[in-house]
Amino acid sequence: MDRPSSNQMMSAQQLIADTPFAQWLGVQVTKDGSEVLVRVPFNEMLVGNSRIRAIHGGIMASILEITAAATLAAHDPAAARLRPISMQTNYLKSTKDTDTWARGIIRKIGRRIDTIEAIAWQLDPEKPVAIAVCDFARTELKEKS
Amino acid sequence: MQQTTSPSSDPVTRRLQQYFSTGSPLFAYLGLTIDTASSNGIDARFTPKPELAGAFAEASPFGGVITTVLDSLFGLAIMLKLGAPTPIATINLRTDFLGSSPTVGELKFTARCVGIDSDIARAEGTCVEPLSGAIIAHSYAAFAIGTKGPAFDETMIEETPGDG
Repeated sequence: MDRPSSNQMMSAQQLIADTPFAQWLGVQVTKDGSEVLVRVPFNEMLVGNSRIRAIHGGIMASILEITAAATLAAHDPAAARLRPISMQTNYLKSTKDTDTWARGIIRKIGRRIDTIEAIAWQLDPEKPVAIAVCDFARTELKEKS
Repeated sequence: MQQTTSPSSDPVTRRLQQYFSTGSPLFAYLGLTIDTASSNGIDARFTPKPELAGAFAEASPFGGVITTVLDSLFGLAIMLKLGAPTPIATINLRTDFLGSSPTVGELKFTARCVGIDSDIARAEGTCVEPLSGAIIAHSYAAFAIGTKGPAFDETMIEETPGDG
């Protein structure tokens, strides 16, 4: 994938800014070479099991979904509005009470459907904690009168 | 508008409700209400707060919020099916988003354990917009039973009756 331009990064950041839940999660989008990188600082609100202080599985899925959407927005800033169709998340490793990072890989850009894989890790990028495959449908932007 | 119901007289439902009210900052924030809970499944509802909205379908909560609620209910449904505190961990979870909610009102959830095969449990559930009856999302998940960690919350099912 080509290195994301400043405009593309702005698209990804705008997506996060326009998504209340991403703001609530504290999602930050940065650029790392050729990739859009998502960081979610640890927050007590993200914990699902207070005994082992693991990030909630649904929250982890949310981080991956947001990462996939941000990756797509950076790839195609002019893309029409995206509608999530389905998402499968696989949990590979238990999480800890520390920051979570994620990146997306574009698997297919279609005329109607885009497929993005997202990968999340915490302490070591080589040891992902969860991966997801997200399908998005392209929906025409509504005309605003 | 959020509906209110009288507290359940069922001890398991009351215990789960208490867990979802105070069990963690996340659950306390979400404000999930448990209507019924048994080894046959869980019925619950919640009204998403505005800050939980997604960007694409203006009135709907972000898909991950629905997944978060369903994942939580799945864990509890499996615990209730097992009838004893047992450590479990999510292996995978698939959510199909079937439609967006036309309002920012209350959403209803159902979750049930559909089967336990040795050390693997499976659960499924739906999120429904109650005014139209439209299914907003359907989810299916697999869980590993007997993992190394502690049970999700051992206190909440101490009085759980056996399967039946």
